[in-house]
Amino acid sequence: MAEHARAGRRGPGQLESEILATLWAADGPLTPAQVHAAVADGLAYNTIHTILTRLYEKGQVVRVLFEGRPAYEPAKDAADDAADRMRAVLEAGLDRGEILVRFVHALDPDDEAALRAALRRARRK
Amino acid sequence: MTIAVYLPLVMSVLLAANARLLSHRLTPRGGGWAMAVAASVIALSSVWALWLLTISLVDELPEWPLPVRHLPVPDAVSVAAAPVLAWSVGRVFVALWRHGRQRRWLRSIVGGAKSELVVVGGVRPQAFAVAGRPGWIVVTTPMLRALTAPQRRAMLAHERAHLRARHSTALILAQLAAAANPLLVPVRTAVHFLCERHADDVAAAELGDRVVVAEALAAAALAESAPTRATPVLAFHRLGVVGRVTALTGPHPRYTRAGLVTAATAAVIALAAAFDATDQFYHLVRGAWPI
Repeated sequence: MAEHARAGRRGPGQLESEILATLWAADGPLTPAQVHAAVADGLAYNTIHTILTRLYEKGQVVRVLFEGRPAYEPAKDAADDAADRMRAVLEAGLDRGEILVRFVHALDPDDEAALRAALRRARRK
Repeated sequence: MTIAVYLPLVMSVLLAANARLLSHRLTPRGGGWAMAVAASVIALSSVWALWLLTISLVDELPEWPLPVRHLPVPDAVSVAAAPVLAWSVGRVFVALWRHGRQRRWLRSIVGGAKSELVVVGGVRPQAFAVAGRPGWIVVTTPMLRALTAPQRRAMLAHERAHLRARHSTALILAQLAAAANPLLVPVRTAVHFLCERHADDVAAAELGDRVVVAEALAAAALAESAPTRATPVLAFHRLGVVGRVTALTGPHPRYTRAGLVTAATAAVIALAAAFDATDQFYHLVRGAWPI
């Protein structure tokens, strides 16, 4: 089971998400080498290239020329559509708190201080 | 019937009173599910007990034919139980309706997505999992930008763990149980916390690094809370991100079997008591009408 996968190993689906997330977080198009540097962690450059090609074929990323070299950036239409639908519902009054499984919930100021303290302790270890 | 019919309510109080303790003592893997199932069983039993209390008013009917003049439930209790029952059933319907609305909303976001990851442009920093086959991870661009590459990987692993462990189903069960029986609200919170910690643990195992997961949580929480500091969001504060970061970075928590035994025992007692009360009720009224 993937739950017991060794640290560093990940499946192709996981890598697709990770590379897509990296491209979305970037300020501009990224060359395959830049993507490789960002998600590195023992992955072959070829693997990155294969996955970028797959994402391109699925229409999730677009290929552009960046300073004369091929680079990739995310295809933005779908994301904007989803954002519009999300905004529409939020404006219609669906409580954000109703989303059951979220990564985090917002903090109050006390929590914020406690959080920063816990992190400082963890980093010192 | 004099005691058994009240036991499901007693068990709700017992489980709720221990919810916080249990959320730290149960192993996060499976602990959330165990509490969700216990809460559901207790909620069902207590709604059924309310129904028995309510229909015990039949002994007030003028044509009540039994030599036993009164069922062992005071009329005042029956009269009080009726509106509580109606309120509880109403709350379950509202919760189901809300759940349906949210489901439609989530499906409208992920509808037609070609891959697991659905990126949403430019709204607030948010990340959440949408259950389905095989499920989706919705992340907004501000959230992706708030995290470093390893933190993004931790966040994706966390959301994927929710999907694999079917946490959304456990949370819906807990939500409905708390709707039916508001005494169980702390149990719902505990289920939520345990599911989050399980997903954190899975992500930490996958990355081989607990601190990165803690940092991802902290970065995401700080990013998300920044613009809305004035608005109180959910009452998960004490059990929320801080508790999860502490669990990830502090000494390894000690889990005991006692927690699981407590939850299971409370559920079994509530269910058995509901059956017993039904059986007694049936024997008391059996001769009432020739059927």
